[in-house]
Amino acid sequence: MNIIDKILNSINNLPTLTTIYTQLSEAIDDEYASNQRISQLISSDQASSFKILKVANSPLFGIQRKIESINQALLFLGHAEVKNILSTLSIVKQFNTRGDSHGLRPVDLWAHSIGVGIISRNLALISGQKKVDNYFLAGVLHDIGKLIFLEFVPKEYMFAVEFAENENIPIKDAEKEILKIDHTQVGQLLAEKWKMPQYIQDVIQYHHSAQTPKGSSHLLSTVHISNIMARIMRLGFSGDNLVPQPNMMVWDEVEIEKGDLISLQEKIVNDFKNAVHTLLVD
Amino acid sequence: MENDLFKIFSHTSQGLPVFSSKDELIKSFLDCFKKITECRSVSLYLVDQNSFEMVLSGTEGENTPEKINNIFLELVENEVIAGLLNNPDETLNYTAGDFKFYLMSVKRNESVAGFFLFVYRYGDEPEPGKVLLLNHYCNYFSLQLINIDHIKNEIYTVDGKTSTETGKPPEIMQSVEQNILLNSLQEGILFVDKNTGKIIDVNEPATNLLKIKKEKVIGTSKDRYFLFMDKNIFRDEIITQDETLSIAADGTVFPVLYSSTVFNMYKTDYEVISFLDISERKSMEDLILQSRFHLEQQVEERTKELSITNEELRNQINERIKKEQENLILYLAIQQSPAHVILTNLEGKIEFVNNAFLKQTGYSFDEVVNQTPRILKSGDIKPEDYIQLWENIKSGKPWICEFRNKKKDGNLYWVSSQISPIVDSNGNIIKYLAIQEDISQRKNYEAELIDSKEKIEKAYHFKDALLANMSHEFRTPLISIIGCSDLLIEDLAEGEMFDMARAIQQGGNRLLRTLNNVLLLSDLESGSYNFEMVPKNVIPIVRTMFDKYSYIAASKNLNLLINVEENELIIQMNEFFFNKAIESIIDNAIKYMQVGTVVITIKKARLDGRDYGAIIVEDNGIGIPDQEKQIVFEAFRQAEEGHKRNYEGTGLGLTIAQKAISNMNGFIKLEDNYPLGSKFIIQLPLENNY
Repeated sequence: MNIIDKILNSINNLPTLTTIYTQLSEAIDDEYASNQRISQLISSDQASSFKILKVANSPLFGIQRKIESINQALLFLGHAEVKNILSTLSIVKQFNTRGDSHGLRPVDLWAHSIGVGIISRNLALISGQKKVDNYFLAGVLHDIGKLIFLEFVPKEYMFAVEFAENENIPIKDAEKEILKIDHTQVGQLLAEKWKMPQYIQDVIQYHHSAQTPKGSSHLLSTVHISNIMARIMRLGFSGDNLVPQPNMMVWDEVEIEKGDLISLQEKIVNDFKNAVHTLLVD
Repeated sequence: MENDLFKIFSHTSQGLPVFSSKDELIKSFLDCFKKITECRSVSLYLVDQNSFEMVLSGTEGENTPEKINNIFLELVENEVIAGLLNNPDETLNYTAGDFKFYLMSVKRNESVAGFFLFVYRYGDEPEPGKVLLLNHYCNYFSLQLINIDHIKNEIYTVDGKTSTETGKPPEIMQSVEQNILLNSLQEGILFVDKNTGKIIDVNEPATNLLKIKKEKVIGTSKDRYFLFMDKNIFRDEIITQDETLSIAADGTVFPVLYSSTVFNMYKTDYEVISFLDISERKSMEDLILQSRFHLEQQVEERTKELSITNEELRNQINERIKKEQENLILYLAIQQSPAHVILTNLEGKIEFVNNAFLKQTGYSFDEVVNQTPRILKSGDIKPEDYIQLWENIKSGKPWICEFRNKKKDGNLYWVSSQISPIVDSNGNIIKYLAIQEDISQRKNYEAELIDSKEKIEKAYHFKDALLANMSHEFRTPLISIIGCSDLLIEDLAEGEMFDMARAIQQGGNRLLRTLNNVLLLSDLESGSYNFEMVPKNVIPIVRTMFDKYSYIAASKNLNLLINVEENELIIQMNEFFFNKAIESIIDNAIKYMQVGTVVITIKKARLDGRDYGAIIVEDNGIGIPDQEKQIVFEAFRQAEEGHKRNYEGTGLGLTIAQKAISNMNGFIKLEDNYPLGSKFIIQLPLENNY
């Protein structure tokens, strides 16, 4: 079996996201479902609801008061946000955060992903976006393809990381060279299997170029910039030693000023520490 | 044992100057300490354990050796030093005047060789976090000291072995004690070369926490083991103490309390990182948080339950209010109802009566409550009726009756009463309800009606008696009058007397006819007449009548015609009365005509599926106006009455005719086209119909 088949097989065999996530998705999509029903659903999973509350209380969401129950979380953060938190938790649960692969460890990649999520959301907030629900999730998921590589073809992926380092080429190119498929393609396949919304699939597939065949979007551009910022800020490690040049076309779309980044960095670091604590420590 | 701290230190100190004199050593270390502790006024002394003399001293400012010596002796006197000797691993803080002392034993081969004594100005002491570092330095310091001693051929045994090489510093210097000290800590310690960021030594707790062997750590980058430390790239500052996440070799992440200190030694920057596993603390925090969330959740649920209960309660109250309002309306309706309402319990005691009842009976409410309805008893109802009443209502059926009740003042009034049981939802009888309507007025009317009926009956009776007498009392003298007038006419010749006798005879005959008619009518009405019916052909009967009237018509110059369409029409009839009827109609027709034609038609007619024999008498006389058609059949009536009555006759003919025909199951119809004459139709069912 060649590597591509092995990877594609693995994606096919991956289970769907946790039951509570699927149930919640259905409940939230059902416009007649009451807050009470949704909160009951979440509360039925003690571990998840506790994590949700921890994330909901983290500075990332900037809720002034303390959120002490799922009901309050639904009230103050909204259904979509709670759903996204739960997606993030489910996906972290799905993949191993452990394991010590040489070159790129899952935990470093997670830290990077969370970092990108944090930066994306903060950029969205500062650029005055009204709907910021999806930025964190999109940022967290953008490199999900790499997680698949680490999970299912760790040895081959180690070669790819080493290859990138030795040849001084971007990891994406090294993946193509060694595995014949890169993380954006693999990630998109998984997102499709998990029935992620199209904009999430687009982010996963096009975050390097920030351009889909149909053009760009604020979300995609923001994740693109955030991905580069996370590397500069050394939040986690994505397997790439090279910091890529940003697509200059998308700066206008993101609508951030140079000073914004300076003023944001403290909050980003703080949010990052908090999110990493909550998401990666059992 | 190869990988212990001292080896690392000796490695890292390669190329550094070897101190040949103790003074030089002390001066260099004092500089170092000052850097670490950031204290302005540090002095360092080494006191020999045996002699308690200060063998080394580095002095700053006002801390003279003499002063320090005195203080030290004071400590000895106070047995502070003795305490330290018994617990050589402890360090000791002591305050005397403006100075603060920090004492630490110097060990050599398990036994205390002397003490380090640091003296600070009060308020200028190092932070507690740096004490650990001080410890390391002291160890290193004593090592250097030993080294110098070594040069002076003072041989110390290490780990039971004796160093045989002399004259130069040994490459590997080991001290089991130092090792134990570092390894007995809870914190993991990393010694890092600041320039390369590579780890140069670790203690045992660090390797345990990171789940990696010592030799695998050394030479790797410190960044590998922490998710974030000094990553605040925008500001070039070093985070000295923070909570962060540590990554073990197997990828597990655990929270640590991290602190970092950078110092310079032999012109090289070193960083000492200590990190303490705080997973337990964190999970405790989580536990507390979790139970708080749990509590909040419960409070929320309880609140929700309460609000639901509250809502239910409110609904119940509203329902109750609504019901009570309905009851009130019902009560008012009952109270204001014109019917008398009496409610009794099962024993028959009155519980409630309404206003209409009180008004009618003259009782007050209090007078009737707890009484039985017997107070109303008038004696109308017989004992056996009461039995019927109770049987009825006990079996759940209502009982309806009319009787009289007695008022408070003894007067009676009529009621129509319905007594019915009231049953609860289980079908048990709980009360009895009597609804009574005052029917006194109706009863009065009824009495009047009966009274007038009796009067009418009496009148009829009188009429019958009168009529019965008539035949005797009227007819007998009349027959005498007519008989006598007949005799007179026979005897008298033409002349005045004859005319008078004739007038008497004619008047008598007319009176007799009227009398006969009245009696006939009376017989017909009372039904006492023997009305025998036989089948007869009407045609010859009518022809006979026609023949009889033909002369009379001719005498009045009228035309009387007959038109017979059938050969035979057999009818069940009483011939006498049939004759009477035909006669009075033809008689009438001729009587009321001055000029013209009367046509009699006999034919068959069909009506409502039955065959009738019809005798139609048509004239073109004065006719009968519409409004008078009804009265022509009434007794003693003519269409023209009063002084206009030009025609002779009692007015009984048509009345008798109609009665007679109707007794024969036929009828007389008057079709009139006033003023062009009238048309009487007699219709009688044909024999073959039966």
